[in-house]
Amino acid sequence: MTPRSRPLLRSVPFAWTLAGLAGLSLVTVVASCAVGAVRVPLATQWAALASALTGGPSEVSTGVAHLYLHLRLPRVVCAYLVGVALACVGTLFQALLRNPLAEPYIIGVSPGASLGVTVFVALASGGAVTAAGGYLWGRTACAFVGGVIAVLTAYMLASRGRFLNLSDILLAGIAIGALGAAITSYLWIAVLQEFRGLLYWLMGNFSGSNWSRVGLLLLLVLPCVAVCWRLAPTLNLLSLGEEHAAYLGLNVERFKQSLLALGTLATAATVSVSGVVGFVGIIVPHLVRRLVGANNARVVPASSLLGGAFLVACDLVARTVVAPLELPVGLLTAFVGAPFFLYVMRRSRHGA
Amino acid sequence: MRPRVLLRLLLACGLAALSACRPADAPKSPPVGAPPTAADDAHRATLVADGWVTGSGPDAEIRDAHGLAFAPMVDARIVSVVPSVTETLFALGLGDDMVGVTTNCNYPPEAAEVEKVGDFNLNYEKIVSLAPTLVVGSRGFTDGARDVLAPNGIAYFALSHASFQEIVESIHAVGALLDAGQRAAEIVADFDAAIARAEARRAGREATTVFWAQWNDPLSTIGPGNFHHDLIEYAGGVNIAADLGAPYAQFSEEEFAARDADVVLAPGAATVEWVGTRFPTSRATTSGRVYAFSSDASARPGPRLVEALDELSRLLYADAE
Repeated sequence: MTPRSRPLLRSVPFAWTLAGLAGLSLVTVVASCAVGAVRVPLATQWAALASALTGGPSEVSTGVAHLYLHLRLPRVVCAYLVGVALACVGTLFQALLRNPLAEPYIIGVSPGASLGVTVFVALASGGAVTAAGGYLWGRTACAFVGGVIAVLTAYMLASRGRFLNLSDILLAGIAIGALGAAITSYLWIAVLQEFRGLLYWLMGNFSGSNWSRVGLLLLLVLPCVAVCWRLAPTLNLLSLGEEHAAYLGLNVERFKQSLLALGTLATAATVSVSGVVGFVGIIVPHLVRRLVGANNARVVPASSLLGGAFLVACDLVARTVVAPLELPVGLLTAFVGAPFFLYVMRRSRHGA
Repeated sequence: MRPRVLLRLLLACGLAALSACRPADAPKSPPVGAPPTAADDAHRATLVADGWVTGSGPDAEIRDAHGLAFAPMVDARIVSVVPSVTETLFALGLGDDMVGVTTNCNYPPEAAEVEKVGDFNLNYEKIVSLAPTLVVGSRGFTDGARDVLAPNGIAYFALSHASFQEIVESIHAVGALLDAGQRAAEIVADFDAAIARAEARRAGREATTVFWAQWNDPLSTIGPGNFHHDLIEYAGGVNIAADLGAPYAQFSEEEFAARDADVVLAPGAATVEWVGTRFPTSRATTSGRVYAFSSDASARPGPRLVEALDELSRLLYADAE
């Protein structure tokens, strides 16, 4: 993971970089909130928001206010938080597994979580619970269980005694992800007999976002991200090699396991609200490393902010490019991400 | 940066051009989006089914939904592999010739007594073991059966479900194929009568705009090329997603809110409650015009569409009666 070119922003103080990314996030969110079936200019956004928060009168028509406050804004915020989580967890997994290609989707956590949700839908309802309606917390719990099973299985399969084979865990994760996706497909097609559910759970989607989903993300994702930011400097120790880290007093196994669990929890929350959105956790951290270098203390927070902005932009394209139709956002991230994955693969092979 | 901007512009222009020429490309379907006024006479005229049959009697040549030619059959042993096809064949009075149906074929009740050949997945060995001479299916859903069954000398005839016009053509054609032309003509006449009743209910009134909430998460709807679109239009409604450009697709929630249909039909996953909580300020919600519309009669492209058409036209123009 050593950078072959020097970071582009090496002469800029990191605090400025971070402030810049926060500004970019804000601009992306506000601009994205303005565009859609109805244009909602900044002034209108502000008026609708102010009257909703203060309960005061508003000049904005009820229709537009509802569209902005309950359809568009929660969707944009969901996309932002999911992007933050996926990029942050991607960085985390790459550091923990010391593999530049690790990412919640690639190592099987997202497909596992998606299978967890599907099993929940199949068991809880016999199909009466629709793709993403209702039972948000139950779904998230099952997503977490599914994600943990996936990551544990990959971990065990890649372990030789006390050693973890770092390329094996990626291969095991891919296989487990494929298996999870296959079982998910089977359950939707054969048991629930509802192929439309697949569209959601295999390709990711922010249609249907609401404030309870935002609430869930705030409660689960923000603490995980905060812990990652806090522990980011320690992640650098791992890049020295686990033995070194242990000499320096780190309980490596416990540290790794608790952070893997944390990353899985954040991923499960994202899958529960938006299905499987792949590749964000690989595109964003690698772009960020080009900007600020490989120091995780910088990469983790910068990736988080850029990840949010990136996914908001992707979702903006997904919901406007073929309007009034919409594309699943996971389709777009895969469209950008899969070639990027190959690029990173070649780059890390040449460098290593 | 510049090439990328150009690319985006090109893409946008291409999409705009595509959507602009869509209505002109589809002269066969009823005019989309336009309020059904005088154009309704044109609707009726299109439901004269004879396009797929040439000649008559034993010399007739019948084409299926793929345009493949067939000669009339006598004493056929028939397997139906789609519920709507089963309904059609029973309605044509061919129940006694049926030797196989799917486990999903629950109408008419007599279908329960026929041997089962699978559900969505067909058990071809079972089909062959029943020694049918004809398997009847639905274009795009069960066409794989043709190649599988051809070596066994079993013919495969596809009906269509894409529009009312194609549905009545299908009924007419399969009737001609199996010597049930008289009954087929009666069914087509039933369609026409139901369309006339719907027109009478709507006569002189402003068209009701309709949204068909096929699925809720992600919100998805139907457009031209889907017989539900025709169901709405023949019932006198205007589908607000008539520019969908696809028989079925994910639809922007914001567009739905912005276009604000008078009536929302909730045939399943998108329940009446769901529409109410998700779109509380929409016209259909505030006026209590979100309806569960989920019968098999409306879901299946067969003869019972006549019932669905009557039901829908009453929902849209109830107070006329």
